Amino acid sequence: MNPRIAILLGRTVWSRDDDGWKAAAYPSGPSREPIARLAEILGSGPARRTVALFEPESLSHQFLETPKVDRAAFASLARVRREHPVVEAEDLGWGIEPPESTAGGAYATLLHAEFTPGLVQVREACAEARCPLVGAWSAYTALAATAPRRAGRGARLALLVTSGYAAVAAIAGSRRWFRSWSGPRSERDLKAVFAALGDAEGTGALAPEALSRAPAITAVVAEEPERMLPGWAELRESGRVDAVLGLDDLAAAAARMPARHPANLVEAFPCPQNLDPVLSGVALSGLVLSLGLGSLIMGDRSRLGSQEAQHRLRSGGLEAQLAHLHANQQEMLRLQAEVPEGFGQLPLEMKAALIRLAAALPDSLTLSSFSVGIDRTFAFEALVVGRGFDAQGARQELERCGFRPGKDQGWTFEPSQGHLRVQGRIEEARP
Amino acid sequence: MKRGVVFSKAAAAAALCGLGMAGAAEAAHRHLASQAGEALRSNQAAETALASAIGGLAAFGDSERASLRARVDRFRDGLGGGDSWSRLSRQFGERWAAEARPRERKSAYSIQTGSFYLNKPSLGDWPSIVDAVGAAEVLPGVEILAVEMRSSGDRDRRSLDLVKVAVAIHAHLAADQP
Repeated sequence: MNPRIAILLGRTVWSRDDDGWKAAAYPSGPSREPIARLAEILGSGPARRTVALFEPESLSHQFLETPKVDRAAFASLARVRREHPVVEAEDLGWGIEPPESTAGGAYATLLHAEFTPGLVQVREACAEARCPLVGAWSAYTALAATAPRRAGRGARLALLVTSGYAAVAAIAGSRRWFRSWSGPRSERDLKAVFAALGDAEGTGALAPEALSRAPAITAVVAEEPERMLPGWAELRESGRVDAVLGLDDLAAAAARMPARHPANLVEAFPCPQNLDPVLSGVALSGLVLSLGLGSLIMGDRSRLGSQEAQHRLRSGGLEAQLAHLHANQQEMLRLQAEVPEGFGQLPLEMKAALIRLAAALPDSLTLSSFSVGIDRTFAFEALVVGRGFDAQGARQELERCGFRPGKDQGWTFEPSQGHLRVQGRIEEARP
Repeated sequence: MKRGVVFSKAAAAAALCGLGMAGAAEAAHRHLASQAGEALRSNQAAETALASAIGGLAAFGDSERASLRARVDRFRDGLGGGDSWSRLSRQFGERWAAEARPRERKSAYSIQTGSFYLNKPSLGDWPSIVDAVGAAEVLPGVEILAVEMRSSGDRDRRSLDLVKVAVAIHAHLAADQP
C-alpha cells in the first residue's frame, strides 16, 4: 500500500484528494499552523505509513566538505558535531545528501537541518494516529530524486514553482545548493530566481553562447506556471527545460525514497525499535516449528503403533509356544507317572548276557560266584583251575564280549592264590 | 537513532502463541519419544522373559513328548495280567522255589517283585538255568532284575550253593480289580 503523503513548502501545505492537490497557505510569522496542518493531514484517515515532503521556512541547506561516510559516521565526526550541533539534537530533523566528489577531489554533501523543532511534532502526531512517519524529505532531496532518470553527468538544476513558493536547486555538478523563496514573490524575488537559474537579466532567455553553457533544468510546477513565474514561457522556449513535472511526480519520487536514505529528516529523532517484525518472525518460526514437530509426532505415533503391533505379534507367538510347552509338560508329567523310573532304556537281555559270560570265560577258570543286575552291573569271582591261564587274554576276551571291568577295583587277580575278582558294567559286545 | 522498543499486542500475542505451540509440540514430542522408549524397553523385557521361560521348558518339546508317548505305549503293551506271577512260576517249574512280595499299586500299573531259588542246584543245571531265565524274560510284564549264583568247594570239587533269579512283574491295574 502506498504511503499517505503531504507536502509543506514554505508556509503552504499541500494535500491530495480525488480532485488533485489542494493548497492551504498560511501567513508569514511565527505561527506553527503549517506544521500542525501537515500533522493533521498525515494523521487523518485509516492507519497507514506516511511520508512528508518537508520544506518549512526554518529548514536550512548547507554545503560542507566531508569524508565519504554514511550518516552515522557523519554525525560522529568531531568537526561536524562542533560546527553543526543539530546532528546531536534529538528534536531537530536533519539529513545529508550522499557525499559526492567535488572539483577539488574532496567529497562534499548538503546538510538539511531544522532551526526550530517542527518535524518532531509531526512525527509524534502521526505515531499517535498509528500512521508512522517513515520518511520526511527536503524539497532538494525530492527534486534530486526526480532527476536521475533524465540527467546525464554534469550540472543540472531543478526548479520548483508553486503558488507562494519557489525554489531552485543544483542537484548535480561539483557544488550542490538550494535556494527558496516563500510567500508572495516580488520583482526582486523573481530576478533572484532567474539569477539562480543562470539568467542574470531575468528575462528567461539567454544569449546563444550563454545558453550553450547553461545547465539543463528539470521543472516541477503546480497550477499555472505562467501566472506564478513571469518569464516561464521564455524559459521554456529557451530549450533549457528538458522536463516539466507536477506535484504528483514530486510526491511519487518522495514516496519511493528508501527510509534508510541519509537525507531522511526523520532519522534524526530517537525512535523505539519496532519489535513487530521480530515478533512476527518468532510467531512464524513457532508455527513452522510446531508443524515440523507435529509431523514428527505423527511419525512417532505411527512408529509406536507399529512397534506395539509387532510386539503383540511376537509376544503372541511366544505365548502360544509357551502354552504349548506347558501343555506338553503337563502331559509328559502325567505320562512319566505311568511308567517306572528308568523304563525305556534298552533292556538287558539277561539270557544273552549269561551266554556271553560263559563264552568269555576260559576253561582254566571256574566261577565261584557271580551276579548280573538289570542295571547292567556284574560281578564275579573265579578260581584258576587249569594251567596256562592268561589273565591279560582273559580280560581282553571279557571286554570283547561286553564285560568291561570297572576302573577302580574292577579287575583283581591274585596269581599266588589263583583267585580272580571282576566287577564292572555290561556293554554291547564287540564283533 | 533507536531508543526503546515498541510492539503491537497482536504481534506479541502471535509470538507468544507461536512459542507456546512450539513448546507444547516439543513437550508432546519428547513425551511421545520417552513413551516409545519405555514401551520398547518394556516389550523387550517381556519378550526376553517369555523366551527365557520357553528355554526353561526345552525338555518338553514335541519330539520329547512323542518319544515319551512311544515309551509309555511300549510299557503299556508290555504289562502283564493278573495271573502273571502264577504263569511265571509255572514257567520256572517245580524245582524253583518262589518267594513273592506283596503287590504294590502305582498310578497306572501294579508291580510285584519276588525271587526264584533253584532247589539243590548242580553244575549240570546251568543250561536249564539259562533257558529258564530266557523263557521268563519274554513273558509279558516280566523283568529279570538280577541273576545271582554262588558255589563252594575247592578247585577239584565244586558245588552250587545258590542260584537266585530276582524278578519284577508290571501288570495292568485292571488285573487287580475284584
